[in-house]
Formats: sequence, C-alpha cells, structure tokens
Amino acid sequence: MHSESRRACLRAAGAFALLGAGRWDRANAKEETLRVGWPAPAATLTTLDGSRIATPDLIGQVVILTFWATWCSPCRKELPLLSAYAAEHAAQGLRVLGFSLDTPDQLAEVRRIAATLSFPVGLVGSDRLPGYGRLWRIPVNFTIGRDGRLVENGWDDRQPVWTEERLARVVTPLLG
Amino acid sequence: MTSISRRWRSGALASLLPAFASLVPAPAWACATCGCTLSADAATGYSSATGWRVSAEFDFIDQDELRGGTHRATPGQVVDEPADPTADGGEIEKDTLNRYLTLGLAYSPGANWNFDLRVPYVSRGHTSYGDQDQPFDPAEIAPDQLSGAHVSGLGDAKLIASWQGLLPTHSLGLQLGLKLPTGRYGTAVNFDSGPMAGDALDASLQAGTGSTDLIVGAYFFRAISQDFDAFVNAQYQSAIAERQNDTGNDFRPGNSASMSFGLRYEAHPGWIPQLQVNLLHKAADQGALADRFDTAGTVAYLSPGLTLKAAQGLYVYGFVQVPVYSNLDGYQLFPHWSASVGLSYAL
Repeated sequence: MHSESRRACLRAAGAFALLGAGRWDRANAKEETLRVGWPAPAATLTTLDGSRIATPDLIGQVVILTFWATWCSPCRKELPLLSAYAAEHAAQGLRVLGFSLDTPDQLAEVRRIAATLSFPVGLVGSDRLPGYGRLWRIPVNFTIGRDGRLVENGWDDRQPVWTEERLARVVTPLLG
Repeated sequence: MTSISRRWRSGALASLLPAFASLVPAPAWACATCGCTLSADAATGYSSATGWRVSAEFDFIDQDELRGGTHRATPGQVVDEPADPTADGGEIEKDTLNRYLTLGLAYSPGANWNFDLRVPYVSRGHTSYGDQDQPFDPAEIAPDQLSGAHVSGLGDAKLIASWQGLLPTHSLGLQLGLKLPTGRYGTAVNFDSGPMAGDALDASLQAGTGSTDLIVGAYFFRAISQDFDAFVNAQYQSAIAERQNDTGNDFRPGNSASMSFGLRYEAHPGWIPQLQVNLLHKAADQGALADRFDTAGTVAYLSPGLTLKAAQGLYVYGFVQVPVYSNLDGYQLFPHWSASVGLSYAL
C-alpha cells in the first residue's frame, strides 16, 4: 500500500475510533445521570394492551417505576402492597409503571398477575433500560418526583422491597 | 432480591448472547493433555432464548515445548530418564501444530432445553525425532532424524443436550451428551517424511479416537453486580465404547474432567471483556496403541478475551489462552499459548 493511502487509512481509523469513543462516552454519561436530585432518565412502558406511557409525559405526578418478574418471589410479595397503595393514592397524582422482565413465553402468566394489579404492566424485552443501566437484580424500584427529578435510586438500596413503612417514608411525603 | 440471569436474545448483548447453553468446551481431544479448553459457552454467553443458532470456532494450538511434570524437559531427559521405567530410551517429539475449525448447530425448542451439535475439522502437523536409545547423543536430534506427519479431516463430533429448568432464571444447567467416533482413528495416518515415513502416527494424534464417549456436565451463571457476571461450568468425559478393541490393537482415550470459571464485564452491551480460568485433568490413554506413560496430566490456563456484538444476532469473540500451570505425566509437547476466535449467529 502506498504511504499516502496508508496515512488516509490511519486517519480514517483514527476518526472512527474517536467517533466510537465519543459514542461510548455519551452512553456512559447518560447512565451517570441516574442520580437522586437529577432529572430522571426518560422511560417508556409499552403496556400489555399496546399503549405507551412515557415518564416525560407524567411531569406533575409522582411516578414509581417498578421492575419485577413472575418468577421473582420478593417481587410477587410486594406487588399487591404496591398495587393497593397505587389505587389508594391515584387521586393524589401517583402513577406506578410495572416493567416485567419476563420473556414472551411467560406472557400468559404476566397477564394473569397484571389483571390483579391497579397499575399498568408491560414487558421490558431486554435486561437493559436506557438511562437505568443493566437490570441485574429485581425487585428494583425508582421513584420520580412531580418535578421529574429522581427521588430514590433503586440501585442504591440494599433492601429495595417496598413495605408499608418504606412507602410511607419515601412516597407519601411527595403526595402532599 | 433476585439476581437476573441473562434471559433475552434480542436486546443488548448482555440480554443475551447466543442461546446455546450447552456448547461444548473442547472441540476435540486428539492429543494428550493439550487441546482447547476454552469455554465457548461462557465466551458467547448462556441464554434461554429459543430457536436455531449456527456457530464457528477456529482454534490454534502450537505445542512446541517439551515438558514433563511441572517443568520444561530436554531431549536428553526423554532418552536417559524415560517415562516408561522399563524402556532403554524414549521418543523425542518436536512439535505438534493443531488447527481446529469447529462448526456448530444449536436448537432451543424452549427456555429449558437446548441441543447442540459440534463438528470439528482437524488439521494437525506433527514432527518427531522418533524413539532414541540411551545414552542420549545430540546427533539423535539432528535434522536428518526428523520425521513428519500431517492429519487433516473430520474430527469427532459432539452432541450435547442441556436442561436448564431447575431455576426460573434458567441459570443452572445440566448436560448430557456423546462424543461420536466420526473422525479417522487408529492407524489411519502414517508419517510421510523422515526415517519414520510409512510408520503409523500415534493413535492420540489421529483426527479421531475411535471411541464413543459419554459427556456429563453442569453450568451456573449469575449477575453479581451491575457490571459483572460470574460463571462456572464443568464437564466429565469418558469412553463407553471403542471401535479399536482387538487385543494388541486397542485404544481407549483417557477420561477427562474440565472446569472453567470466570467473569464477564457487562457494562457495555456491544462489547464484553471476559476472563476465564480453564482447568483440565486427563487420565492416561489405554490400550496397545496408547502411549500410556505420556498422556495424563493436569493443566490450568488463564484466558482473557473479548466478545463483540457485530450485528443483530451476530456475535464474534476472540480469546488467548496462556498456560499458568501444568503437571504432565511423562514427557509431552505443550503450547506456550493458544488462541481461539469464533462467531455465532441466531437464525
């Protein structure tokens, strides 16, 4: 290869590498915005009936993103509690979005459980949610205030299961 | 709190690389305690995704160092301190260069089951100074003493079924399979150059072993943090039937047990650095055609590598294996390093 051609290839490779690095940096930066007090990353739930609910459209309401699966025992334990709490406080502007990490072959069971809940449910379809990172353990919950800022980061919780005490401590004050 | 095991295919890489939870760690055993010990399962990622998947892996293993026990050996030791205490000399092997191309076809009818067929093509060159008598004389390793052989052809295929229905996360799997005698074996290939031209190549260096082997195994993996997965798998392989079973002309490959464990760095969905530790213990080959004194041992490799998501459903990986420990019976050729590259594609 002629030296000019080689230099052109090297320049192209360098530019490609820089572009790639830029993309990764942006991706990482996006992940890093998941901080309490910062604007919560946008998340969209595609519900089992096909409608889409995006968190930016819920500004002015308190939003809980809850991640669960049919085979996750702690999740199954907290879902009825969360469902009752969501129904009780819906009039005060509380919205709960249920993201199921089940695979499509478990859809029937997801539907069965979703029918018992007061909040909408949908399948995530991946183990990553942009802005929220890899969903490596469940249950995990994220609470977003009326101003769209993250109030509680589920990844920071060692015991992230909802209890009446925890709902009263974290969410109820936001509904006042 | 429940750790998520990777259960999806279509999303990001961590969501799921290849679905074959039952891939076979080693393409073929054709030489003593060397061979590819890399865990292709872990390289590509375990999954419970359904459907068909094809794969290909190329392994390069150059056994260019003579070793015995835990140390490097010399031709003088091979002859003057033979592994067989009744012998008055020994075979001084020089080099075995192995290239394996293994094609795979896997099918998962559901989240709990996976069936995986792996068919290797073996290309192997071997050189040896042959059996030399005591006392050792440097003339015994003169170039004119060198004989060579080349093996190329279909190796022994493996068919493995995996069941991962024990846990709802499908992260614990049990394996049962067979290695089939599809490769040419016994005395199929002779030396084609040097003083040993026309003599049969060692049975352990042929493309196949002539045996049907039972394979049992298990694996487990889980996310241990937002950025790391850990995995461990183990397999045991034992010949249950041999085609070469005539008295005086028999061969049975030694049983082998392998285990791999390691970490996958899952922070980026498009590329996953990984570090594996691969352990292998192999018992001595048996039979009149076997080199019973020079085919057993225990080895450990450290294997760094990288898996990339090249396109939707297409993953490529590359690993280097560096031996960090070897305790070999007798004298065996051993690699300074080996390398594997592969790809898998969901149909």
